[in-house]
Amino acid sequence: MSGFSQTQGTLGTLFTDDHVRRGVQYLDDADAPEDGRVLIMAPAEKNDKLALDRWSNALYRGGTAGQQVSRGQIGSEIYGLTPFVTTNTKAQAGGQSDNTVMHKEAVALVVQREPKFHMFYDIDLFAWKLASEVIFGSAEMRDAFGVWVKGQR
Amino acid sequence: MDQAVDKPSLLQRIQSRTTPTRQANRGQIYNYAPLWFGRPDGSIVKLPGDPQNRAYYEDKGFTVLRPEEAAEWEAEYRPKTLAEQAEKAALISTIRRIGSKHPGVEIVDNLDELGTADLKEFLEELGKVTGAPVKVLAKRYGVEPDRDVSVPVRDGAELQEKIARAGARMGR
Repeated sequence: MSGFSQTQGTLGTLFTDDHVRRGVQYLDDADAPEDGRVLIMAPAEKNDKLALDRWSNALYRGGTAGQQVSRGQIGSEIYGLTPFVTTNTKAQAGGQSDNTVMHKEAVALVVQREPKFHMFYDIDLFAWKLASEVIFGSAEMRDAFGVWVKGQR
Repeated sequence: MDQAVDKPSLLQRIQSRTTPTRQANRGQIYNYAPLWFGRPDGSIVKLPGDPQNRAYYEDKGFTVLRPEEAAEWEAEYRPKTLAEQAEKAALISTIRRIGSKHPGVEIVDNLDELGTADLKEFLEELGKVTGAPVKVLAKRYGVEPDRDVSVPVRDGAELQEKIARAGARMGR
């Protein structure tokens, strides 16, 4: 996500509500469709956001009673973004995380060779062994549909 | 002095962007290691290094660090940059916390664009406004140990090296 030209926040600090809304504005500016927008963040970011009124107070959020505080869930949507929390956000260094606000068309899984399976019988172990080969990677497809939201891990 | 005289000619500018000739090879079509790229905003980040992604990022204005530049970045500049980023992060976090505790203080958050010296000055001014001088102590007291919970993921280039090592062992 550090490849997106549009950025918000500071590496090593928790991103703020303003940064997310600004990210949403960038997607609006780029005419990104409203459905299919996501916010992908590190667990430390979710922890911080659960303490923000706008993210957890039922008066702002509605939804199932006690969902945010009792269950520790942000909910299915915030500012039109579906939130995802993962430990797999890339990081430039320890204590930092590369979060992102993007539309799903911003990044693509590129598969150069579909998975192909091979089975072998190993006479030493009296067992079947299974191996598969695949060539895949990822590519940024639409720069204007993504925002690198620098944050904390 | 006439500025036009000082301006490098087009050919000089183009030549300054080239490097001494080096041996290049096309190699295989997979398992490219990530590369360090310089972004137009001045930061340096690691991004996919396969030819398609590399061309894409270069078209966006990014530049690939050459092998000797990458080595210099990792050995000399990166540790300093990370230390600066940590100091900047501590200052910004403090400024935001103070802002959130004082309803009369509205902080327009473009703090990332400021350097550490400007942020320290900002913090001093904030201390005067709120009537409570603030100093950021960067020393850690072991209250919370550093936790980097990220799971290391091997990239294809590492796998390729492993295969090459295994092949070399079998060839012995």
